[in-house]
Amino acid sequence: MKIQLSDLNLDRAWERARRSVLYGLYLLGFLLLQNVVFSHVAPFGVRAMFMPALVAAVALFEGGSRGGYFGLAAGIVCDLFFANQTVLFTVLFPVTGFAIGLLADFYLNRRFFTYAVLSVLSLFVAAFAQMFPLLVYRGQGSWALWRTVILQTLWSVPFIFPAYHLCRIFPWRAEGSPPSPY
Amino acid sequence: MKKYLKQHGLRLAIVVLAAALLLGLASRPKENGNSGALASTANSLRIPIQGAVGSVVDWMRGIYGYIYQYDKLVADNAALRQQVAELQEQVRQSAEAADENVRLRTLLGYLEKNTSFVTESAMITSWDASNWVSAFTISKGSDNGIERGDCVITESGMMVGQISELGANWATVRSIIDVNMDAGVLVGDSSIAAMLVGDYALMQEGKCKLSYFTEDTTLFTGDTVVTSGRGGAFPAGIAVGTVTELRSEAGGQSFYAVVQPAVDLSLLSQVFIIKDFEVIE
Repeated sequence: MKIQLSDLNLDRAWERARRSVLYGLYLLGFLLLQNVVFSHVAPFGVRAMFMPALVAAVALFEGGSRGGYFGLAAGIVCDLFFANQTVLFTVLFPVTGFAIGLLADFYLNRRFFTYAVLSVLSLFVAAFAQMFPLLVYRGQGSWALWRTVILQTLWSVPFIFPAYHLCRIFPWRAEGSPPSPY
Repeated sequence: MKKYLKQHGLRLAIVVLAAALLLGLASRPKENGNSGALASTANSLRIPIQGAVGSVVDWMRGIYGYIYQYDKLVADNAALRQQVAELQEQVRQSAEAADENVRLRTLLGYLEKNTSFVTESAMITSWDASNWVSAFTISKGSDNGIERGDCVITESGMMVGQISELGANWATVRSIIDVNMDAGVLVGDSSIAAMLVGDYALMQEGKCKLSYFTEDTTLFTGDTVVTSGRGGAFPAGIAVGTVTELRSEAGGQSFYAVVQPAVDLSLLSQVFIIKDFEVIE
């Protein structure tokens, strides 16, 4: 049997490795910014939590499956790097990534406005999910919790710009046609 | 669409569930109170990274200050020189005061009550970045004899919090104002028993809540709050704070007190963990 170099699909493997490394670096960069640098910045006592915006951006450009796996990686590191360790983000971020990727694959365009709406929604959902146990299981006052949810979402909004443009500058999706709903 | 969901969604759902299960199991505390392998690894990685980034941030702040705040720095320098002179005088006075303090403490029997404390000092490496908890990581762990639930105090004996998670060379401290904090306390001169509980709204103000009073309880603002020692989690008599306000619960049937912690959490850099204690009544 004769195997040619082209049979090994090295271009594709190289592309995949490059993409993985790049998204890994994005993830690491956002994690450090969020948990180390911007953890010192807390206007009105509330810090930004913008990892969902990156998950939304990756999902928008990469589609449901890859968005889901990126969400899984982001969720695991977020859960590990917060003191109150749960599996909240490990479950939430892949679902967010997959849902946004699915919508982008079939129904939505990949323009900034679309992304802005989806990412703000994902930021809000993440903050709400963090609030939920305190609201339900610890019976804490709701006004203070909702205030934190709103401010956390608002403070995270500026980070949707770098997240979107970092993912957009590489036209990964151009290599193949998106799946069709028909 | 259905095919897409079946092909990608199902596979992803299985992977996510497996990962969540593994992470949950790996993060679950071991029988000896230590955190799981994943949590330990993550914290072992996080602490040096945060230390390095913190140094870079401090360095950048220094550069910024030098370039943009030169005049202010000159004025600050003069003020600081003046302050140094005053502080040197204070140091001389405080040396005398410290000697006096030792005598007074002995006189009051304080030392006799607390000589049984076995403490471990630790530096705070980082505060948690989340908006939903008040917790920080310290540089010591189970290798230093620290256990989950140990009481954490300042050098002057004011309560800071409790060890909530533990690794070999790190530990997470749940601060006194955290939502998940619960401690038995005594209030005022008449030593009224109550529970110190975390409250999210008060946590944001840097305060905590005193609850579960009996119906005929009388409290006053300014009453001091100390740990009761009941239950064995905390030694008795550790200073918690003072009552600053009395408020009604939502239904108006009962009331609770707002406690201002004795310790200023924002100024902490080093804490002491009480590893062992024996209360002499």
